[in-house]
Formats: sequence, structure tokens, C-alpha cells
Amino acid sequence: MADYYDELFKLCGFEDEEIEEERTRIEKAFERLGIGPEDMETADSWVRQNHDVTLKGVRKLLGAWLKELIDLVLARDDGKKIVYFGFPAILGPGLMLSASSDDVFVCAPDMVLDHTMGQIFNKLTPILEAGEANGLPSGHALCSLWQAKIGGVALGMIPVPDLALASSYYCDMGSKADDLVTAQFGVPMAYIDGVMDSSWGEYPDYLPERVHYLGAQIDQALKKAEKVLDIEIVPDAWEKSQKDSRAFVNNLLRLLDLMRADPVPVSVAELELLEALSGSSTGRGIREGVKAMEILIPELEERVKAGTGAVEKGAPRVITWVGHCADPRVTRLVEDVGLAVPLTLTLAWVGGPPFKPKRTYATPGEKIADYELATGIFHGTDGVIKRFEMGAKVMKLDGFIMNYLYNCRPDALLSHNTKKYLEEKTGLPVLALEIDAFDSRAYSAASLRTKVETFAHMLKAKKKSAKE
Amino acid sequence: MKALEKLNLHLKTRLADLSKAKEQGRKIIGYPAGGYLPEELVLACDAIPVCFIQAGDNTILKDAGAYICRWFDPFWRSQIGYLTSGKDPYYTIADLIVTPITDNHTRAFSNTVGYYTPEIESFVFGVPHVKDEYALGYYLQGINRLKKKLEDFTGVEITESRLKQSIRLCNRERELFRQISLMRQSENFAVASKDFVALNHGSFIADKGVMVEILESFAKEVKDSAPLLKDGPRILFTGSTLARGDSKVMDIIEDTGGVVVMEEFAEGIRPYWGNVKLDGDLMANLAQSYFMDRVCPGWFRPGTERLDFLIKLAREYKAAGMIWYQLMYRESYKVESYFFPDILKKETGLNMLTLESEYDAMETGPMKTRIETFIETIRS
Amino acid sequence: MLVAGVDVGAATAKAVILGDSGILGYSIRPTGHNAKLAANKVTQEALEKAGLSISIDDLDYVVSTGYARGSIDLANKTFTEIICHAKGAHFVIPSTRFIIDMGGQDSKAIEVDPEGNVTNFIMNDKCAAGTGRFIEVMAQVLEVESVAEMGPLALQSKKPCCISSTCTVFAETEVVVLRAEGKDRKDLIAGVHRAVASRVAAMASSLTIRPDAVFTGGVAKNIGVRRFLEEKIGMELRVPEEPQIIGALGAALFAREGFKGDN
Repeated sequence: MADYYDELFKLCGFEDEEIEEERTRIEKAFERLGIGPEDMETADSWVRQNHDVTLKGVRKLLGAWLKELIDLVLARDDGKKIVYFGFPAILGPGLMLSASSDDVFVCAPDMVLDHTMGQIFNKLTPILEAGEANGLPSGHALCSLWQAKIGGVALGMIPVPDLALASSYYCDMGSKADDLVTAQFGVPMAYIDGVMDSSWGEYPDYLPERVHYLGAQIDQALKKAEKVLDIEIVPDAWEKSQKDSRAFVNNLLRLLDLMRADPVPVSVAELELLEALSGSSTGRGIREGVKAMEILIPELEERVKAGTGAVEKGAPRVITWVGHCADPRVTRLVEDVGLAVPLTLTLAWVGGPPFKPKRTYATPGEKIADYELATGIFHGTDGVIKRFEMGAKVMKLDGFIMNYLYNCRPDALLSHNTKKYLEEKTGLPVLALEIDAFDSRAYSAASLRTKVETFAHMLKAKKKSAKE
Repeated sequence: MKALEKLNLHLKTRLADLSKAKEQGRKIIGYPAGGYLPEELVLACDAIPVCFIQAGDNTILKDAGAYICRWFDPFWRSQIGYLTSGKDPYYTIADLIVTPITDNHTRAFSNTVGYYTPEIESFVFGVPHVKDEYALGYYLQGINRLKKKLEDFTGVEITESRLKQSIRLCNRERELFRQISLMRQSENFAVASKDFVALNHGSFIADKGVMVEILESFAKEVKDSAPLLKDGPRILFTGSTLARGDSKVMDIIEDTGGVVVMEEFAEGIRPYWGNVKLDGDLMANLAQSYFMDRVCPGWFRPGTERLDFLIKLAREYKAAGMIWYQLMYRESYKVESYFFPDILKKETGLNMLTLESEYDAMETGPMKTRIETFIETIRS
Repeated sequence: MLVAGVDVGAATAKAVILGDSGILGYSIRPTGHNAKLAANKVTQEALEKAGLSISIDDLDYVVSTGYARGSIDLANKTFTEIICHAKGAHFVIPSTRFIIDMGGQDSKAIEVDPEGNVTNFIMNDKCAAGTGRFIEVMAQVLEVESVAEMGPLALQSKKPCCISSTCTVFAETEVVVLRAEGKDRKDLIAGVHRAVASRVAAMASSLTIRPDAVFTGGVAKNIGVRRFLEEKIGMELRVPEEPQIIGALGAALFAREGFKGDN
């Protein structure tokens, strides 16, 4: 058995015995992914350059992603019933399927590829190019996350799933790309549909009909999944699935407290690893992710005690929308120019006003739908903007970086109005930054630098004159 | 006077007519294209429906650039531009803007209405993307809320008899469009596609009663006319949006000798294939007809109903080829255009040409090259 | 004290030498393929034009800006060109509250407070159709010998053509076609200028445009773009004497602060 990957896996938090246990699987997965000894040096320096590997918790997070990748690539070999869901997802149905049977593997495969082939191996480009060649060409502002999914399937790196859970309530691209996979491979689809037909300004209110509709779609999708996968959703599936996500949310609250410190104890690039994991995995990835948080949080507590952190003390503090899923240099750009990111939208959600169910809903689907509409992202554009506004109340901020994805239509709806709205409502400066959160070829850190650096300069000058 | 001349004359004074109607207390209800707003409801409360269907001139996209980034369908960016700039008088004259929310491009428009022009009264309701009983129920509750809004806004109750009357009128319009369109199934027909499209576009702005009369005249004219002398290949023309003011592709097809026998566009061509039932629950009938029976647009999941329909149309209209014309960044259509040609070829033996536009004037040259080449290949 | 500000853009490199008495000299040259070399050369040239026979290594402090600012060895510090333009414009025109900067490959709009600090900005670097590059390409297409002639020719037109293409490549074709149709050359030139101005004005209008509005960058020397821009934004634009060096001037002013800070 080869051992050329041992050092990298140790760097990514694997214990020796874990590597031994996984050896056969690692090599099988690597063969399918086209990873070999020649890739180790690049991966090692790429990980060290982009992540704070002095933190054991961060190394464990990277390991959690690698475990998810191995499980994804070998799901068919492992005899699993494979379900892919579209990101960003209403995770409830996926979690319930996963909790109902050990034979079911549910994940967002594109996010897994981005975080591993992108963030660890720096080998995402060929996968994206395969996506471009198989139905999602460049130059049309098509989602690069879906390019990774299509490319991964086209290259045979990830298996063709048994079922696609299409997130039809948010973007149009996702379901259509799933249709593409169905047209090519005949994959059954369960569309979870919804309509973001809120009136501007309606958030946080929403019509009960929206809950009924989205809820019915979720329930329907679960029934279809049962049929296609030949499983039964266990009665306590929802409670079971909440076990991991509750642990995750509790830890997020601890993390939020630590992020109030000055300097912030950890880079948003590490938070990105964490938050994306919770939205992409229902299996080993998220379970390992929760364990990694248990290690990371005490490490950060030490940093806070010692007064050390990811950026200088006194750095202006901003909230950002998304970190880059594949190239952390883009995420870190904000910190490189001297800004601290103590808050992400996920942390703002946990720290914000608690979600209260509006009514008593009958079905698991409706309960899930009610929650999702209340949290804003699937409510409508003004829902997202208002969550950002609330973020400024969760902790004191000096500004907002609204990085919107040019190739995600629901996200690009935020391009202009968010800046105007937040500046008027909060009086804080807002940088509207157009990015691609899954592919840094056209929107590299270097190309974004001037705007982010200028914004940082503005905030620093403002902070300085406020002191004087 | 010929029917199309009558239409042009009517449209010339339409704004003046609408102003007069406003002075008399009638409300103008504007709505963007897509075919999901039942005009019957507007007519039944004595209001006047006006569909925003103008686009094709990309200078308006600069105006839109102050409100939304570039990466949206240029038809919807045009609507944002017209709404915010005051350069389209139909926007200025509308008392209420109703937006059926279909995909994220209509949301770009409705967000702009809601946030940037809050002084304009507006209403939104959602159109699901799948066809099942729950989706139908959701669409129905949306148009029920719309009904209430219209009643409150106009002060006129939409009674069953008023609604029946307007359904009859709209059904007649649909029937006539159907009748005229079906003529093109034969080898010899007198209906020029550009005229058919002009009638469609006109119908979005014209008085409904006048439009029905014009269509009656036109149907008679073409029935009695000698067939068009066209021996070029029969083309099925489909895509995302065919706006009033965007004729470049049709012009090139005509110049190249192609004969368009059928147009299938979710935005720009009125869905005319079925009528609304007059017995039973009228609101449920509207929902059934407008949402369930209507062949779905490309952003539906899945879009296979439309793709199957295109295959059916290709056969029934004896098409020699398909031209798929879509607007940039309309991702649903882009993805379908990748896998559909193989299906079309397999089912019908036909080839498909894909064209894209951002309404840039200089696209004409490269488009001409493509269309000419395509026409030549299918001619042989 | 002898400090320099160096602005290395994609098209041109600029340097300004500041002494105790103020601006001593400046220079502008094409960047070419080697930004580092261009920075050194343009700084040396600026020193020569200032009548100083010292080497660039003897400068007390250097600040670099522009897209290549990170690769200039000569520099003690870097600032973005947006910050430097605000600094420079405010220095020459203290009543500056808004800046439109049009360079070879990007354009920016900047809101500035009475102290010259940037309070808001927007930048377009994804499209040549709103930059100096567009004018250059069209000058070639319309066989205008020097880009400097384009502006005055534009003003001679009474009926600018409509150039609607959003893409520079397509616009080139559009102009060729219109010329072949017999459109007057001056009307086409005016159309080109109006198109560029429209694009930049649309970008700028998402900020709050207040007087005094200042126009900087190489394209500010183009009277045609200036007039059309003024028309579009509905406000007079003030243009500094040498608008192309404003970024470098801002950098030099930062260099002066940097030097004073160190000492």
C-alpha cells in the first residue's frame, strides 16, 4: 500500500489509525479523482497557504471534508443508495433520509468537490472545464457550482445518483442542471418547489399558503424518495436528524461569543469550512465537523484569552455574505487588507432574534417550510437584506461587504439594492462586490483586491477620525 | 381597411384612449409578459389590461444598469429600464403593476418595482415551477388574492356574470388566434408569421373588443387570400422571449427565404391553445387553463412538457427545421438548448439552430451567417 | 524631502515628484510589458524633468498605486488608485466632492468628503466599452491619426450616431457598417463618445453626484467625452490641468505623509 498521502492526511487532521483504516478507500478514491504522488506537494503548500493549520480544529475540519469526499466517490462501491441535493438546500428532507437508513448517502456533491479538489488539492479547474463542456458553457453566467457537479459526473469522479432532490424553490439553474443529468443518465427527480413571491418589505411576514405549498412539496419529495430508494422514513427521523444539527447550532452560539473578541480569533476562511460543511453533508462530514468544532472552540478560547487572532486588534469589523468555496485566497482577501470578519450571515442567524413558529403546522414538511421562510434566505430578496440589517445589531460592525455571486440569479438580485438599503438603514458603508464564489478564474483575489483594499482604507480612515 | 392597418391605427391612438379612460375613472393594470395573468379578471372589474412587452433596443439597458447588474435576461432588464426611466409611456400610464412571479428574472423586475418605485401601486403573486395538485392550488390562491386586490383597487366587484362575459371575450380571442395559427399546418397558407406576431403583440396593448374584431377580419382575409408564395423551408421558431421591437431574427429568416410556420415563446406570444371553461367554478377554471393546461415555459421543472410539445408542433406543422432563439442569461433555456437538439433529432430527424441575444444591434451580422447557413442545409 | 508617487496602470505609467516646495516634476510613459521597469523608468524621467540628477534609489519615500502597485520594488507603501485619485483631486481642487476617473482599462466614480476621504465608490473593470480603450479602438477604425484629435472632432458633430453595442468588439463592427452606409465620420466619432459617456454616467449615477464633480484620468483630456458626460450627469465637470497624473499625485502626497510619519 502506498503512503505518499500520509503527511497530507495528517496535516488534514487524520490520526494514524484513521489513515490505516481508510487506506484502501483513500487509494480507490484517489484513482477515480486522478490524484497521485505528484499532487502532494502542491496540496501541502496550498493547504498551509490558505488555512491556519496551527489550529487542530481547522485540520480536523479539512479532514471532515476529505472523509465526505471519500464517502461520496465510493458511495456506489459501498452499496449506498445515493441522493444528491442542490445547494443551497432546505436540508431537512436530506437529513431525514439520511437518518432513516444507513444505506442512504445524501450530500451536495459539488460543494464537496469545491472544498476538497478546490481548497485542498487545487485541482478543480479540470472539473469545471468538464462541466463547461457538458452543458454549462462559460460566458453565460452559469453557476460554477453546478459546473462542478456536472463535470464530476461527466469525468466519472462521482457516481450517478439514484435520486436528485432538486431545490426548486430558490434558483432556476439547479433544477434545470439536474434535468440535464436526468436527460443524460435517467436519474429520477424529486423537485422541492416553492415560489419566492413575497412583496417587497413583507419579511418577516409570509402567507400561510407559502408554508402549505413548500411543505407539501417537501412531504411529496420525501414520499418519492421512499419509493425510489425503497426505504421507509422512520417516525423519529426528524428528531434523529436534529441531533447533529442541534449540536452544530449550539457550538455556533459559542463561536459567535468568541468572535466578539478583538482581535477576532480565527479567519473567516475557517468559518467558511465549517458553515459550508453543515449545508453540504448529512453523514460523516457533518458528524466529524461537529467533533472538529469541539476541538476548535477551546483553541479559540485560548486565543481570546491570550489576545491573539487572525487580524490586528482594532481592525475595522465587517460582515460578509459568503466565503469562497474553492479558493480561500478570495475569502482571505478581506483580512489581508486589514479587515476583521467577526460575523457571517450564518452566525448572524444564530445570534439574531430566535425563530418562533408562526402557527402549528401539521406535517414535517410544513414545519421545515415554516422555519425556512422565517430565516429569510428562501423568503425573498428583502428577507436576505433584512437579515444583514439584523446582523449589524447582533454585534457592532463598521461596515458590510455584500459579495454577490454574478452567476447565481437569486443572489445577483442583491447587486444594487442591498448597498442602497443597508447604507440608508444603518449608516454604515457597504461594498457591493461581484464575485464567483465557486470559481476564481474570472474573479480572482488579485482582480478583486483594488475594491476591497479601497473599502478597507475607507473604514480605517473613518475609524481613525472617529477616535480623534 | 385591412385588419393590420386597423390594428396599427388603433395602436397609434391607444395611449390617448387610455388617458381618456383614466379620466373617466377606469384603472389601467399593467403587467409584464409571461401569460400568467388572467386578463379576464382585469376586464371583469372594468379595468384595462396592458402588457409590458416592449424590448429589443439595448440602449435602455444602460438605464437598467443603475438598478441591477448585467447578468439578467435583457428583456427583464429592459423592463427595469423602462419602468425606472419613464421612457415607456405604458409604464407611466399604469395605475397598478401586477407581476406574476415566474422565475428569478421576473423577480429582478418585481424587486425593482417594490423597492425603487414604491410610489407605484404593485401586487405580486407566484407561479409555481412544477405541475401538480399543490402547485395548481397555489396558483389558484394567488389569482384569488389578485381578484380581491383588483376589486379593492377598482371598487368594482368581479361578479360571476362579469367574469363569464370577460372569459367569453378572451376565449374568442384565443379561438381566433388558434384558428389563424392552424391555417399554417397546410402546405399553402396566407398567414405571414410577422403578421401573426404583430397581431399577438398588438393584442397585448389593444382594446380587447377591438382586437377580437380585428382578428375576425384578419381570419376572413387570410382565409380568402391566395396563399403566400413561399417555397423556403418551414421553420418552427421557438425560444424564451419574442418582444415587440425585437424583430431582427424574424427579418433575417424572411430575407433568407425561411418560412416561419409556428412561434412558441412563453413571453411574447399569447397562449392560445385552449379555452377557459364556462361552467362550474370560474376561478378554478381560470387556474386550470392558465396554469395546468397551458404548455409550460422553459423554466418549469421539468421542461419536458414543452419539449414534447415542440416535437408535436414540428410534426403537425411539417417543420423542416427549428430555430431556438433565446436571450442571454436565461439559464433554463440555455441548459435545455444543450440537450434538446439530440432529442429533437432522434424523434423527428430535424436539426435545430440555437441563437442568443443581448439585444445588441451588431449581433445581426453573426446571426445572419448562422441562419443563412442553417436554411441552406435544411433546404437541401 | 524628495518623495515620489508612481501610478502603474495597464496602459500608462505615471510618476510625480514632490519636494518641500510642491510638485517638482512628473512624467507619463506607456507601461509596456514590464510594470517594474516602467515604474523605474517613469520615476527617473520625472526626476529628470524636475531638473534633479539623483537616482530613484535616493528618493526619501515612494508610494505606488495602480493595478501593478504590488509589484513595484521601488515602493515603500501602496494605496489603491481609488484612494490616490481622491487624494490627488482634492489636493488640486479642494472643493472636490465627486470624481469620475476614466483610464485605459477601467473607470471609477468616487464620492469624497470635504477632507478628501473616500466615502463611497464604484468601479467597473469588467468591460472595455466604458474606458479609454474604446476610444482608442474607434480612433483606429475611423482612421483618426491621433487619439487626441477624437474629442474635438466629436464636438463638430450636430447629429451623433447611435452606437448601441455593449461590446467593444461588436461596436467596432457597428461603426464600420455605419460608415459603409455613408454616415458622417464626425457623427460616428460623436456617437462613440456619447456611448462611452453614457456607460460611465450610468455607473456613476448609482452614487450621489455632488458638485464639485471632477474628471480625472487620461480620458479627461478628451473634450468630447467630457461634454457628453456633463450632459448625462447634468453637472459641470472640472478637469485638473494634468488629469492623467492625479493618481500619481495622490500617491506622492501619501509618500510625503509616509516620510513625515517616519521622521
